[in-house]
Amino acid sequence: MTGMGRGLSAHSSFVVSAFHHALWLQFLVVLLIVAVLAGVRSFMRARQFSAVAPGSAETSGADRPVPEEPTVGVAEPVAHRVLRVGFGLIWLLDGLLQGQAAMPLSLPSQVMQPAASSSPMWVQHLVNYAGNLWIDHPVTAAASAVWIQVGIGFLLLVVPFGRWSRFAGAVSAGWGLVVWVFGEAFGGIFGQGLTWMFGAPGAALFYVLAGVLLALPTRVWSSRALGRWLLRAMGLFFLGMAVLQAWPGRGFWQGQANPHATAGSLTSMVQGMAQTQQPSVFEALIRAFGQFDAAHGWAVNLFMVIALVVVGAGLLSAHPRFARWAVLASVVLCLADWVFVEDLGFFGGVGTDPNSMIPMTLVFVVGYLALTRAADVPIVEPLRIRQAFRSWHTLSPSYLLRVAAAMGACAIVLLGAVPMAAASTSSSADPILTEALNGVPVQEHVRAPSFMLVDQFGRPVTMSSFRGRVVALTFLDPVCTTDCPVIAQELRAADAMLGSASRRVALVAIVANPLYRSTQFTVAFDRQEYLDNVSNWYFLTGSTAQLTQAWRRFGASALVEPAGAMVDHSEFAEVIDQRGYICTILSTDPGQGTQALRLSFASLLDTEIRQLSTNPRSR
Amino acid sequence: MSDSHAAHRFAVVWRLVVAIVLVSALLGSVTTTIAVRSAFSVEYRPLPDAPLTTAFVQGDSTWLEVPMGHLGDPSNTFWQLFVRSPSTGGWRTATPPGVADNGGLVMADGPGGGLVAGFLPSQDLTFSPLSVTTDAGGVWTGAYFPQGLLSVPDALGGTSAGVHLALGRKGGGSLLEAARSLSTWRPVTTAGALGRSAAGARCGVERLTAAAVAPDGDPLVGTACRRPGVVGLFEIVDGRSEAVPVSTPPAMLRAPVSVLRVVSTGTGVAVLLEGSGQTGQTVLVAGWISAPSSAPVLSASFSPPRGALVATGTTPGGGVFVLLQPVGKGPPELVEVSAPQGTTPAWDVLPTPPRGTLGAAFSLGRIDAVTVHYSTLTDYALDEDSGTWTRSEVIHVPIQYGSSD
Repeated sequence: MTGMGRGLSAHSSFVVSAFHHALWLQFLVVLLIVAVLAGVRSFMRARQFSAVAPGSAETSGADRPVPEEPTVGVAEPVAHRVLRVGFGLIWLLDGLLQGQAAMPLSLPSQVMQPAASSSPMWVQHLVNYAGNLWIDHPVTAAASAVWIQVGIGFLLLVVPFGRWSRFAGAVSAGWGLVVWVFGEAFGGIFGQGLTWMFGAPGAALFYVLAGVLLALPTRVWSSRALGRWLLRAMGLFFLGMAVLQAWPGRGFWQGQANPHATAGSLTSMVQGMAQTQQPSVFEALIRAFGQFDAAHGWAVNLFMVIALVVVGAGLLSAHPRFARWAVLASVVLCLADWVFVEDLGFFGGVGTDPNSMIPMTLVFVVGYLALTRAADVPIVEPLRIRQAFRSWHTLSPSYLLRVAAAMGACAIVLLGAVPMAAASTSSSADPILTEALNGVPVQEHVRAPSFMLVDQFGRPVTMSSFRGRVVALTFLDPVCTTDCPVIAQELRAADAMLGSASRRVALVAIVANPLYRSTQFTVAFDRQEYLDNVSNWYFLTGSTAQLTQAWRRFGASALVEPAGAMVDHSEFAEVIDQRGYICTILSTDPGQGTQALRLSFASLLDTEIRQLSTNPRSR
Repeated sequence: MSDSHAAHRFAVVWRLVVAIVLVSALLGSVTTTIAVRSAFSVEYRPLPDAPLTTAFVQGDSTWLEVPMGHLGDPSNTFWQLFVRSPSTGGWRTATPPGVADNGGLVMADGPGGGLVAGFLPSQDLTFSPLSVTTDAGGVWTGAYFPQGLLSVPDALGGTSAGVHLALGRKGGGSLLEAARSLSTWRPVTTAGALGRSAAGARCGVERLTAAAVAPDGDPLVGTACRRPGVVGLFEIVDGRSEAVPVSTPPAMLRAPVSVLRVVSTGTGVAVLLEGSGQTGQTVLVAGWISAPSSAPVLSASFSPPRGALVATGTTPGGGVFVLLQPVGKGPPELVEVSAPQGTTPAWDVLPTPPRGTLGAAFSLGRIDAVTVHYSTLTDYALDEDSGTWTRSEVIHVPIQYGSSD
């Protein structure tokens, strides 16, 4: 993910407006889904009423049941409800946070990459894979994340207790796992500096845990064992975190002796968080805590170790009396850490969630409720979904509404998941990247100038040699070390994207270096860039006078720079139609963001060439 | 659950916690000790190759090559070539244009008394364009080399008479010879072929390290040997590899020896060897081949302080110099050994050059040390009478930062 997103501003107006445009369009689709489902529900209710109306055809002679509250999902345990609604709201908030303007271009470089920076290489490779996928399709990926998370949140909020709810839990756990692995680099558990205070083992792991709990069989919720198990697991987790917190040599026992001294781990973390753009009241709070920790680093860590041990032991006991105080203490501790260390988690423009403390708090509370109020309602095994569909005319209006809403939520999840899945299978990048960096292609309609040069095999070539073919023409330095090889690869990728259509296309480059211009260099460049087996590739050169004339006629330049710099030459490409007219001019400058532009220019060029191939412009 | 039962469980938990903390502390102290010990046991390892920072004497001209710019950032480090001759008075920038030289430059005698410079591959460029000048860097002409040059200071070798050699990267290192012009090259040998030859097998050729033209016009190639105490210096005669007979200095018998430099001088070929002594310290020995098929005359051995080789080069009389930066914050050390004149040449330690000296150059009657601060090169001349270095020149080079990003 080297250089991911470099060269493009995080708030590139081009990308941001495309992102917002995509969200608005998808929002209209969501409204359409809501309207259709409302229509379906009304239709079903009308059918139900017609079925029970006195003297109706359907009731005559038949013994139809009257619609009433079914036995499906009426007895949801309070712990289950708190977990479902709590995480539903969190997913909704996360979805809304994903809609921030900086998400398309900054999430990989400012969230994913830093999260994986201290992890082993295999973790970094995994995260890089997802990061590259995101940066290749920034608008699609960011918009998809919004709708997937909003959809999951909505699904959790509306599903009735029972199989729908288990399904929602599984969806939540699945997406949470994706976020935990690729977005949070496994919550940093394989990295250095792991600590509960910074959010270990990752907020998304609690989403996974919550999803798994919701996906458990309904009968599990009728037993206190679930609460006991949950509290003991959290207790063990706290004790483990206490050991890590107490471990010497990890920088947590020190504050900062003076402003020039090396800051301890917690102090530097808090000082870093204080730099985040946020309301002044939160900045003041976190700055004050940072100063306090700098002065009393050892005492703060001692307090944390003791607090984690006490809370952990209380939870591990799983005794209602101890657990109540332990849960209360853990909630206070989590909230304090959330405010003073994690800085609420969602400021700065690329905050994706409220961090780990809120979901962790929810899990404690749910564990306690499951322990103390597990059997306050009778658990009734609900209908199978298929069974419920088959007897839809017996379902209550509220159940019908929730099922319709749940189906709508699933549709919203799919609205995000399908484009993301499609993008992940695409080998090309979104053309929007190159357009955002270099501007949209300029439309022209002027005759391409003539030239007399030779190709890499020494054969004479003129502009008219390409009559009848669409030509993509650019200027490349055969001994260039950076941009030209990148542009060459984009041309090669565009050729591959064209497929069989490339037979009617010529990819042409004119040498842009007055000192290294022999065919030996063009052949060497072709070999280096694997262009020597591209049959429609022409790397043209000639005498200095011929090249200078060609540059001038095409409005290009090639300046020899001093002091070890490469030749400074024009970076644009022209798409010329079958009759020799320049139709489109594109900038080929990969800027600093060569990784961000991978294959993006190729996609744009492919589109422009296809348009001319299938629809030649008339004069 | 009764209160006594809960209290008992709580006590068990507390014991468990205390046990975990104790075991953790034990593990922590053990691992810390191991880590500290291993850090202290790291041995100093000499540089595998000579640095590219060099100075090269050609007739009455001296060429100096140093890296400049942001030296910690390869894409903003640009190697600069300077030339000094009696007619120019001071240093003049003569960096060959047309190719980004972030990978480094190498140089050798070019055709017609000129100089040929080669660009080492960098970033996405995988082959090495060459550049030739016959007017001391006034005008440069591009020439072609089909491979990437090896990153050693003597990757190019040549004579003004027209024989030119280059060390390419293919096949684990290969020696090529210019056939008709500097743009047409034919293979001479490879590291593998050399290693399989009878002469090479004795050395255990590890890699090619330097190339030059022997006094009789045959290719001369230096290698790093795997076998202790063997000097890998070979002459390629009619396609056959013949070991140049070098009686290894006693100080180098116990460890593998690398040929760091093989450079054509006005009087023959100068060689710089690096090995390790009995206590593991680096040992340097220079040698000179002045007649065809003769064994080189070797200098006394020199054991520099532990540190890094910063620059090497030749002196007007055919001698060799080495600039060293000892470990720590000590000042650099400049040592020189003159070509033999009857007795075994000995190394002279010159007055300590200024801190931060990055390169040195020996011209007729003058010794220079240069420091680099981004795009500014500062030259210090040695007053041999007083043994002091005096700032003599400051050159600002118009580096195009960001041009290779």
